[in-house]
Amino acid sequence: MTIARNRVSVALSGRRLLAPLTLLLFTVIGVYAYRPNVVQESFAVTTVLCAAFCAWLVIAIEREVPDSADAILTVAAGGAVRAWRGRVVLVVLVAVPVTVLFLAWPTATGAFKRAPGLGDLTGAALAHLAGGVFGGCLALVVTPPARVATAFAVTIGVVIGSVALAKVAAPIAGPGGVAKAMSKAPDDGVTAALLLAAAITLAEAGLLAYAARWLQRWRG
Amino acid sequence: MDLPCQPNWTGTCIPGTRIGSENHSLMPAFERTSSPTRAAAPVLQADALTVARGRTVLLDDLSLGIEAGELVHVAGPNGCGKSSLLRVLGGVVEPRRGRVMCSAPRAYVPERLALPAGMHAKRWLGLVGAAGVDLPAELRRPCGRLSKGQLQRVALAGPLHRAATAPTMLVLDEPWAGLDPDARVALGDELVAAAQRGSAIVFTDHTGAATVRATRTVALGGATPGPLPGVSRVRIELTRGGERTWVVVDDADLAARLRDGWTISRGEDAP
Repeated sequence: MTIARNRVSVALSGRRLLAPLTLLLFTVIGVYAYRPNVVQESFAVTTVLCAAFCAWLVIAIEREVPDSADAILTVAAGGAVRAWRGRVVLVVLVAVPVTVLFLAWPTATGAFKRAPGLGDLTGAALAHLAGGVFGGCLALVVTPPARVATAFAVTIGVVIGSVALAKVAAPIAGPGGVAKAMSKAPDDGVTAALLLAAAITLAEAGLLAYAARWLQRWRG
Repeated sequence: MDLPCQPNWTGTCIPGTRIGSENHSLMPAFERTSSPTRAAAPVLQADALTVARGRTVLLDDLSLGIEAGELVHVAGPNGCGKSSLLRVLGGVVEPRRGRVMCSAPRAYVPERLALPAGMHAKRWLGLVGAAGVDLPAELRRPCGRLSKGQLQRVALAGPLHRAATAPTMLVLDEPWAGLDPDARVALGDELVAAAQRGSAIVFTDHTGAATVRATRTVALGGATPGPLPGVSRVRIELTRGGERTWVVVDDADLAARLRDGWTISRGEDAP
């Protein structure tokens, strides 16, 4: 928790978070600018967006911490393994408020054809969290020390690829697969397909997080 | 309870210590009030380490134990893996193989230093567990507005603060880089004091700027252990124009002063 809090503190002292946060707000407002909207399909779209924005936010936070400052903070937090866990916690800390924003804004402003029920919101929360954590863990893999442009290209490529993959192998397609399951869910219901896709996406996020740790050790 | 306190060279005011003279410099180690508390137990134990960067294996099957009170100098040619070893010993990265066990909290200062430019130095120290450090006025600025030497002082203030409050494993990569002569000597004094209080210190010094005498040198990359860094201290009278002053200096500081136009009029061994 300490390393996540410290990284956020460092990130807030710089300006890199301004762009993704601003665009996130415009996106949430923009997606629901035309009303009314269908609940499941809208949440499906924002699930994919949640993955992309969480990745961008995590990249922005990670890039704000210079390598040497990162090394000092890592040791102060208790070492590389604890720091790695802290970065995973950071991903969750980013994914939760983004999820809340994607769910709360349309619900609170009456952007849907019908008021979303508890089942809708539960399924959507699960889908957004899974997508957001996947995006955040992907960001841990590609940055640092990858160049920012490379990090963005890989992230966008993976998110678009997951949407494409969802057409042929939905359960294992990451955010795209979760989004597809979300769009097929009945009114106010959470389907087994959605639960399965979310669980697989979270497992894939775990693999990405572990890959980030392995890469860090490999880089030395 | 208010403990006696004087600011040290970073401006840090650590209760219960009396370190540094009025001008924060050139106070020889023998004038310190702290008493040695050496212990024999290893603070850090590294077993069968393999240190690598990508496909390049820098060090293989290296074992090393560092005890409390030790000042260990890691020496070797460029690219032999000194900094990579320190990153592993400090806990910045996991070793490729082998294990590192440390019984004390660790603090690390890297060689190429950059702190978050927009963050205030005081706030930074709070993040690294040194919120109690009372920085001098010239360091109370955002890190991006500090000079290289000032940045180094801020970065070192955290580990030194921790070592002043509890035995710590200090891992310092070129800690003297960028410091002025007075600060280099004072840093040496701080490290000696930290070692006397039970901390262990491992450092690199590629430029010969060290102002401490290491208790041991670990030579990497086929290097043969040369003379230990750090040199004897002498008490000398310096003159420049009409100025005349007595100082206690070591070789590195003396060289800097001679370059600065001072000449030695007389000298004696420091006690």
